[in-house]
Amino acid sequence: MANPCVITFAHTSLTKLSATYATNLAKDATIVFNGPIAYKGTFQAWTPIGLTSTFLYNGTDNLVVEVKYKAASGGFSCYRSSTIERGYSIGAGSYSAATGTVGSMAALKMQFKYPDIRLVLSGSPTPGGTVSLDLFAPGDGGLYYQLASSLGTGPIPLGKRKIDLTPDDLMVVTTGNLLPTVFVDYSGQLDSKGEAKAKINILNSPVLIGVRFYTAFVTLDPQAPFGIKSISGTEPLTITK
Amino acid sequence: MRMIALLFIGTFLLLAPAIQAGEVGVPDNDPKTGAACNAIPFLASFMRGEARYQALVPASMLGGKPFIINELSFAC
Repeated sequence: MANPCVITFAHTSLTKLSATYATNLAKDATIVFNGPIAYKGTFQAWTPIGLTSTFLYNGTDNLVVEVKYKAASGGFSCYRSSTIERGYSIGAGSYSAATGTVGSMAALKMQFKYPDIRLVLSGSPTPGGTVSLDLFAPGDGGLYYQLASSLGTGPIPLGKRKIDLTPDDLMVVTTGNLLPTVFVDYSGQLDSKGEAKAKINILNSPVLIGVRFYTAFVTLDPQAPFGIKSISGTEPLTITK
Repeated sequence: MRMIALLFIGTFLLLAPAIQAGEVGVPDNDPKTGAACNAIPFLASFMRGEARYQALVPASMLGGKPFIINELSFAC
């Protein structure tokens, strides 16, 4: 039986939960699941929710995980942690309650999954601004990488999959290192953890406002078939005011 | 110059490895252990039909790096 469920993630600088739920969700609150769910726990195994949206964790803030759930019967208990604080309300009306009981170190254990090869963009996508590109490929430490950007999403078919980049002039510029002060470190070597940083120094020209382009990277390994080990997802970027 | 782009595209076309997922368990990645078990928010009889629940995960448990969360699991 499927039951109503809403799951929300948010960043917070709070070190203790507020009894007012909205206070804990004040920064970057993102609904990652909203709908009926037939959630059945598997004994002594991680049981995924099946999130329908993603959340970009910023690497610095604490993380709030909220679950709102209704069920007339059934369900199960989950392993808890004695080192993660929880807040809660139960009983009639609690699904939409504004406040709850906080302070107990008894939140459920959780597991978060993320794409192993990923590209994260952050910063100021404005004329004159800088956008940071964080490359993560934990299984590819020490390998060389190549970034590319394009104005379209292709796609480039890959058998049953595809890469959402378009073979256009921007790809020529970025892969050819023709504007090295704009597209900085678009090729290089991952560190031992499989991480690297690059950046885009956006030209200070208002005509660029509204321009949207897309970026991805590959890792290079002579021992891998065709010299390519991994391919990242494609991330969009729109230049704004 | 276009050749460079075509080479880049070519590398995409030539290899399509599966994208695997990384995992971060809080406070650990073992689904078979825990301080105890809690009924909130998923056990209907205990939470009397509905619940609102929040957890505050310290950044220190999350590795100090940005990442894109695309799945959440609990263990029972």
